Amino acid sequence: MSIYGLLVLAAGAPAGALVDLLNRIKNTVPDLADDAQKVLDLLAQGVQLDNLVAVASHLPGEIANIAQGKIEPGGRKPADMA
Amino acid sequence: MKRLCIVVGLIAALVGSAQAADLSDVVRVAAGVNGAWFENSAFPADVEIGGNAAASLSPHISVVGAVYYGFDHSYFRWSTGARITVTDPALPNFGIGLGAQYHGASQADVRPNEWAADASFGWVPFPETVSRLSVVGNSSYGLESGVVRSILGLRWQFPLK
Repeated sequence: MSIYGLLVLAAGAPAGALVDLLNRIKNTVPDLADDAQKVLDLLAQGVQLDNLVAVASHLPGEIANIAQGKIEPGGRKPADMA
Repeated sequence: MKRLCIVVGLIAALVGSAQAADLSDVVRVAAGVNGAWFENSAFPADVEIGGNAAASLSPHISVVGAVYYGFDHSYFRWSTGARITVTDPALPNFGIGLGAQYHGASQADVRPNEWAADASFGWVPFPETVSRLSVVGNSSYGLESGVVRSILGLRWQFPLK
């Protein structure tokens, strides 16, 4: 599958089309089916309100640390490259 | 462009004065290719090539930026802003981010200069064999234009050490 073909699969793609793309991957590339399902589960988990509230509770402390020049980068964070 | 230079300078000053953090753990750069959608088109409106950079300042907060060239409409666009990781930041192969960036472009009809709220994801599909390759997507809502723009693309991350 070409890169452009992969992109075209996400026809109409705002963020919501990611789910459609992952379902297509699940159905057409069996080796990636388990990984695609994990991504869908994480996606569903990430946008839940209680998760967002939990994240928000960390922010004041992290902003204070940044203001003091204390940089703690954390993990890889793949979404930073979007 | 002036805003971009100011932000880059602030990032460099902040990262340069960072305590107890290896620069290669903080700053990441990648080359990328995107399909770009402008509002409700069925197929990508353009194919872009360019790069991204990010400085991870805390487990959930990063400063991000990008510069891309769109081939079909022959434009340059850039963006810079902040992103909050709303998934577990310790997850190395998947993440969702919410944030805001200031956007600009060589053609105002492609991308007017404005702030936009955005949602993004990143996924490393083959972490054991091709760990530098990721699939990313981003949708942004222009706060002045009210236009939704999206990209779906691939990134190849370059090591800094």
